[in-house]
Amino acid sequence: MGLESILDSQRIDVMRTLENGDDLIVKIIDIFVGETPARIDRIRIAAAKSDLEVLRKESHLLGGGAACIGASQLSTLAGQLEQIVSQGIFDSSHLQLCDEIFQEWTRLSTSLENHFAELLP
Amino acid sequence: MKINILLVEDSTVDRALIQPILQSMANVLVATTLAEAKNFLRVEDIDMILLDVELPDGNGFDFFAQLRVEKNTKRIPVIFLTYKKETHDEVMGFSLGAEDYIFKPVDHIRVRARIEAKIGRIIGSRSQESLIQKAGLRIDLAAQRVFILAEGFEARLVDLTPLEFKVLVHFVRHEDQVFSREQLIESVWGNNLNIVDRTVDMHVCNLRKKISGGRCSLDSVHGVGYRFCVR
Repeated sequence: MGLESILDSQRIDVMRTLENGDDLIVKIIDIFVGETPARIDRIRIAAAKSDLEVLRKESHLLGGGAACIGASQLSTLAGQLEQIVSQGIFDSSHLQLCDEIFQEWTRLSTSLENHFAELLP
Repeated sequence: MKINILLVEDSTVDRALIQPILQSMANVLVATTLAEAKNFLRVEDIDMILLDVELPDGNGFDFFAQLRVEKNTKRIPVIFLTYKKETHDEVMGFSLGAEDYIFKPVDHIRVRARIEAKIGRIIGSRSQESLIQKAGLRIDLAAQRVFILAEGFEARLVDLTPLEFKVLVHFVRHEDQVFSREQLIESVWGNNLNIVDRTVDMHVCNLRKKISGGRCSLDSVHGVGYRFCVR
């Protein structure tokens, strides 16, 4: 399964044209995959406590990082959360959106893990 | 000639993508907070800033407004970095006087083209800035020569070593700013680990004597370092 089936192929193509593009893609995905679990935890805790400042900051960074690697769905969901939090209207009815983010992250990280596992000799 | 670009970006992922693009064209200094950016601006000659709008310790627009009122930073071109959805940011940035706007996730081909054009302009204006005249000093950057201009007298050539010249230019470009010895070592000598504080003192002391006929001074700031002042 190619990366294009997991991430936005246009974004992958853009990065590929950089010098050492393939290495860079792997490096950027690695950074994103490495830092996202802790970020997801912070979102989970902040959502439970309705800590809007942490939620806004973490959803912003999650959405930006996801957009950078071409994880469009995760980026869109994180962007929606950021917008809701920025408008100050976050309440328990939006916990469903947080769950969608967590599920999308689980799906994405599993797909990426499988993809890189297949590449191992 | 490579210019110095300060990248102010807190996202690790974005830094990993943007930094290599910039490094092929310029010396890149990286700050992840506004506080770090301020420190760089105090001690380095920054030619351009790429500034994220959302940073952990503040907002890029507010920081930009501060830069525009400071004597030493008001002319530095600033390019904002933001996500595509934040189009209102673009309007805000331009209304404040930003040089340009780059949307994230960055498209490196566009970024490279736009930054290259701006670097070309900076290098062009820098080569035109071959002469600094301040406080009775005339500094010829191309010839690396310094003259003291005293009223009623002919310009007097000051005999400076290349390092003294670099130290002087650094101070003149950052009038009234206090620099610690460590900051001077970093800015003038680079990452030369063999330089000790005493070396800095010796150069400043020599320089102080040599420019004593001008309307300026290199003052000691007790417990901190040195400052270039215009009298």
